[in-house]
Amino acid sequence: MVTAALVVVLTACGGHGQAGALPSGTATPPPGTDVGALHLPIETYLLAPRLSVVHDRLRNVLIHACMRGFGLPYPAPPAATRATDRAAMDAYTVMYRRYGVTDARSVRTWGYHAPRLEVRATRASAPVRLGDLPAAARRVLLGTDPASGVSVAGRTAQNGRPIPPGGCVGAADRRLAPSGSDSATRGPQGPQGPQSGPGGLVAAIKSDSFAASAADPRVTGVFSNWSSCMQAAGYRVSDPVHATGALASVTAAKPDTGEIAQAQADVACKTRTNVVGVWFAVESDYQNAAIHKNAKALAVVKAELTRQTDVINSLAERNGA
Amino acid sequence: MAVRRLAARAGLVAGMLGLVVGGVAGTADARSDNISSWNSYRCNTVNWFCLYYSQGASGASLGYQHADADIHNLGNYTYANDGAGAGQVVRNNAASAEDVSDCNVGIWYAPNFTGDSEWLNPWMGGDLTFLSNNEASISVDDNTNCPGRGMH
Repeated sequence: MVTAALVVVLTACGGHGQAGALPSGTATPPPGTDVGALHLPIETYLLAPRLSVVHDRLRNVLIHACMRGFGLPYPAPPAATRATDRAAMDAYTVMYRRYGVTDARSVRTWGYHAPRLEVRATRASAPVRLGDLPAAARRVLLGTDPASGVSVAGRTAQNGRPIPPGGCVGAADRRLAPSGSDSATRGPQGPQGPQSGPGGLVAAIKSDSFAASAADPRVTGVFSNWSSCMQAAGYRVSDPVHATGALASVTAAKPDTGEIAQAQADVACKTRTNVVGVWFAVESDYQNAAIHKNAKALAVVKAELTRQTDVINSLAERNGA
Repeated sequence: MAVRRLAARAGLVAGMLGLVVGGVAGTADARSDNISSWNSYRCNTVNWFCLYYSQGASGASLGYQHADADIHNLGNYTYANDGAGAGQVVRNNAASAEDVSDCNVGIWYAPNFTGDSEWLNPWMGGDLTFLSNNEASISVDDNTNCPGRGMH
């Protein structure tokens, strides 16, 4: 009943911004399709994963430069490697682990664990928590008094320079924002672009489609098939995103043999029942309907995204990021 | 049961979509002024991140400072005795979060970092609009700034 209500909301006629006919149903990808080859419609309105990674790196470079300008300590951005870049892009890839584990090769080693990079820790590149920084640095970093949380924007730092609004974090974010726009049109900014932050339209469509599709009878039908397949393999689990409920090993540093065996059965059953293909097609339909309904607002997002892409590429060229 | 919760969630989020669109199309809607993101101010700075029972980093809190920088299942954690929601289980019961590290922090719908997710940039806090009361795991997830940390 709730799903039916949702469809009405997503497809009702007469809303502003509609144009043309509703998109037709998405073709179901065949069983075993690599999720890396699947792209949900909303991704058109997100920064490409590569650009999100560059955005993050630039943000760190800009904050570091700003803090150094105040003569204050701040860790230098760690050097990127091909492995760290690939892992960072995975984190920004919408389909990565969205439907649970899907990669037969990965689960052979990692079970349900996310593949972990072995990084040699160095003092210079170790992650920093706010408490690791002296109070003077925290004041300039965030533009607030560390004790009271009150803004100190415009006041002078120890070296006599005025602290920018939002501190060095605020200054970096303004440099990375799409040029020629303001926060009213940019909306909640996230690492994946305009309106991808908390409360943003793009984030809403991405989350809404996930919830709606997972409750859609076409998808719950393949969940049942998958669950039966898992039961035949000796595992009692109801749906793919909650497959690890009974596994204690997932909180350990490494998977045990039992976890790996279950994860392998999980991937095999997903292939046999085509959970990924069906779910992807249904979720794409929900997203296409929402995109159609919000076409006018998303045209603004797209323009912002193009401007932000230009800003990121330009800054990356100047900063070698 | 999980699917029923998702269905209820779908209805809630769909209702919110109209509000969000209004914010984009309008010019002075407060929602568009990034009010749900702020420089972290409450989370104890020895932590990587904090979750809060209420919006705006208010209500009872859960701070996490262990070196692994990840929580696989928030169902195993309860809020501290420091506000509304004190002592309650955190899973599906958080409305905001703060990141007090120089790493991105991810928050996921399901345990073990799967399903839909939301993000916090380094040093930032935010309301979990779409995963609010519907989250199960959280971790540092940033192979650009913090490679090898979190999601163990």
